[in-house]
Amino acid sequence: RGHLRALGQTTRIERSTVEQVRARIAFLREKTKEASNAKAFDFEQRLAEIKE
Amino acid sequence: MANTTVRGALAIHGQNPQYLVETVIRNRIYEDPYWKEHCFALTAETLIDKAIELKAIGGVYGNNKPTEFMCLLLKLLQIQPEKEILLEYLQAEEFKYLRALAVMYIRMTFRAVEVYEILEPLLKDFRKIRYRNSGGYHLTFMDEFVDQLLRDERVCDIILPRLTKRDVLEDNGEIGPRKSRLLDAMEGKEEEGSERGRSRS
Amino acid sequence: KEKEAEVPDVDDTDGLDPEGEFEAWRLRELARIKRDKEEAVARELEREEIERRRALPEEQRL
Repeated sequence: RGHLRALGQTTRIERSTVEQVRARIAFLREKTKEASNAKAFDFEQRLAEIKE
Repeated sequence: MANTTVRGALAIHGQNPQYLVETVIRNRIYEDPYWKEHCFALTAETLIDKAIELKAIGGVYGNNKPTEFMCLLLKLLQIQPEKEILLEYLQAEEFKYLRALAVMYIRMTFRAVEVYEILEPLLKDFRKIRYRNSGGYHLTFMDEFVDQLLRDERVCDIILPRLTKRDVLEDNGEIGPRKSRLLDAMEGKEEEGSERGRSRS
Repeated sequence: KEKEAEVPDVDDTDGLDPEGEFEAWRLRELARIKRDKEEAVARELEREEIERRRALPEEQRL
């Protein structure tokens, strides 16, 4: 801890806000979008089929 | 510092939240290279990047080596993000290991009623997840993992805080009967819109 | 270094067999519903048994 202080770094971790978390998720979502497009399976439709 | 709980953290189940991971495993985590190199100074925001890279859930494997999943779980206990943040994690559904991590954390730290209300709807998530233990990797499913968290005392080598049984909460009128999308479908109930579902409960 | 050990040998890719994956879930969910129902019945039986014993006169209860 001492050496961090010496480097002028705070040892206290910042708290993230919900907004930051949301933004991060949105960003990562965009980034991985193409990869997850394959999963277009429709759960709702399957349930609808059971009803029949 | 790296191993202390965030200042102002609330006691969970009457103790420092980090103690929910028993000492032996906790100490192994503090020594773990992944913990030291990748978990240092993570925030609720930067932890997401790590969580979506997870390849498996699990507690310890090999010679009591903690999984990365376990390291991130301890990190969450350390930084204690707000409830809203955990719900955001859950809603980012394409990131299944982030969801699995959130589910585990919620089970360990939220009130019983919330645990049932938040986790049970995820019993419809049938995606595959890897579970790692000393025997190697095994295939499980999100719904199975959630079901274990709701019923078992020990999951991923962690002794879970006691969870009030569902029927007790039901008898006290604190929670309605469990809804199953499958059961609803089989009984021919109409698709339940979120507004309608709310107003009914 | 120990990188080989880090590569999981289990495939967790979803959607390879959508029908099969859904069907497997349906069976798991059914099993859970059945299990929960059986447990509820067992609890109810136990409750009735306790009531019945309570209703018995002292000497029969022993």
